Amino acid sequence: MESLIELEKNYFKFSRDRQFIKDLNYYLTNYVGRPTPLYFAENLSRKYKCRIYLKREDLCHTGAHKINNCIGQALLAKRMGKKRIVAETGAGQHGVATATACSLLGLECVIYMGEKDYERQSPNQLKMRILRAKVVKVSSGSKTLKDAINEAIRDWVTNVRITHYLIGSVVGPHPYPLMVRDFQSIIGKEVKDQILRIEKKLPDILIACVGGGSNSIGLFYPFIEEKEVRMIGVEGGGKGSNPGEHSATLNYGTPGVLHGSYSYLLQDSEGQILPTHSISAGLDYPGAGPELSYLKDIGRIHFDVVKDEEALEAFFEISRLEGIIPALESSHALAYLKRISHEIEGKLIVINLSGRGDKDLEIVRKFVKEEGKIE
Amino acid sequence: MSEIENRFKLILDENRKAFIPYFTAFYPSPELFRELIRTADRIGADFIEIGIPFSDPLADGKTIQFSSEWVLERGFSFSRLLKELYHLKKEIKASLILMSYLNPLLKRGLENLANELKECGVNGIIIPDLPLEESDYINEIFKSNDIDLIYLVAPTSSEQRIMEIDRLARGFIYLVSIIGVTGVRENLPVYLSKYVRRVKNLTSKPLCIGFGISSPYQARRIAQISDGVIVGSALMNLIKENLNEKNLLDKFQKFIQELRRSV
Repeated sequence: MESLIELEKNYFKFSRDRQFIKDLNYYLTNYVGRPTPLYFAENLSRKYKCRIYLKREDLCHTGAHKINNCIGQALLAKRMGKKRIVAETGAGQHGVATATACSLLGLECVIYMGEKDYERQSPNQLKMRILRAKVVKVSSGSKTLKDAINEAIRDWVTNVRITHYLIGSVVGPHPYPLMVRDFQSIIGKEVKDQILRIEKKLPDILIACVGGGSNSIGLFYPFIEEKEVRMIGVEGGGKGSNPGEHSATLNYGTPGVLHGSYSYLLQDSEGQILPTHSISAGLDYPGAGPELSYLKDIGRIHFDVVKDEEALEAFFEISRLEGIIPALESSHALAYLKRISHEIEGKLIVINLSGRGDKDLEIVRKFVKEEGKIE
Repeated sequence: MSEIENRFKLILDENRKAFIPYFTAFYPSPELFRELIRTADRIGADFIEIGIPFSDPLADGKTIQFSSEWVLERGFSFSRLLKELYHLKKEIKASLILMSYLNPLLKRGLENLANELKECGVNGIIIPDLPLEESDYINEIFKSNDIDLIYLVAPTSSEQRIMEIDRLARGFIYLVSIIGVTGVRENLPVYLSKYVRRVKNLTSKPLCIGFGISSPYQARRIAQISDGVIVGSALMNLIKENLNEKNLLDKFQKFIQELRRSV
């Protein structure tokens, strides 16, 4: 608890500190490559008879939105005098972004990765090691993201005096959900500026995928008060709605406490956390941010599911129509277009393309071998 | 005074130290678990801590993770454990303390559970992932059922936090010996006696020390500077290493007896 209090105090101090903000903006502009484009997807728009914009977080350095938060937290850790960073990773995107920020800022870096994810996202674990991070395989529990978080927390509490735990999503104990949301809100802020400049009006619908919820809250947060903007969070529907077949916490979960926050969870009748499944490792988490849980309860955000096969279909659709290979996580958000195609004619829609698909090529190839999709 | 406080008064009056072994519920099997508890009681454990297995035991090291996964894989039922404790309690002298992460307790319903625990004769509860800041409401629920919520103090705890814990704590204070998770360690931390003195100066409650105590020798040293010794992973380790041995119970009895004596 003491370290969380210390973190909260420092975060509130530095997030108002001019030099800190200046440094953060410098790296976001010159290193990450912000602002990322808001791209009018003309072929997709023609197909769905509406105006679709893609927020190109896939063009961020390291290939996903995760770096926004990593640069922020790594700069903060440095100000706090921490020399060592630990982090968890599912798909590997957060691990790579953390390892990158640590190389840049000269911090020691240890990444915990579930054994299952280590195998299925092997390009990313290699990248992390090239960036001189130590990658630790986690073989306890379900061997995925939640177990990597458990192990990272155990490391953190053991080495807390010199270590900062750099959580990659809007989960974990306060102040993490708030801090990660703030660092990711740059996505929504930019979208707001860009869409008002291009279209002279706010979007009708925002769509983002939800694992823990960092890219979705990043996009949604600056629009929460704009009541006329519909927001849709898309979760990993996996293979079906039975326990263990999906990772759709906000759709099928019940409230509980995991990793220090009260939110929706996938759990059984005894309060044990259930195994999850999603084709995309980045969505494979049995919890969701506490703020998203709240926004669900008050009805501000609508949450729905997209299954593995629908996400794959969207993966190919965007690749072929727009020449953009999206991450399987983001493919879930893109797949939702088809689901609501009957009600979106003429609408202005922004979808968060949270990451690029390079890391998923092996999974796609495996699928394609089975289904014969590539010519 | 609560049941635990009464017991502590007796223990301290007799100029003894409390010995508190930990057991993961139903590990390695419901039958053996029952025998282990009986043995611990027979050799004179003052309190027995029983851990609810949880899928994500954040504060636990490899050993208790293993025992938790082991039990969960074979199917754990809270109701069945409560039934077991209800019967066990009638035949043992030791006080029962439950250890559980917050989520299984929330799922069962706190008020309902506090009532059930009281019926079973459980006197205390340890919730390692419940921070002081969120504990008021939960403390009240257990208090009104005569169950002491046991607070934990860590080497990183500030003076202010320790004083606040002292104000709220009933039964005893659980002093976490190290910065980190449970599990046996070769050496006790060098700062331990200084840290214990610091906590002692800030509280009037009995202090029991746990985390990392692995041998009778260490248990004796801990007993010298505290009011009680909590041993968990070392016992779970012994059970794990002798899972297929016929003489598991004998070995266990020998080890736990040594621990008791050294405390």
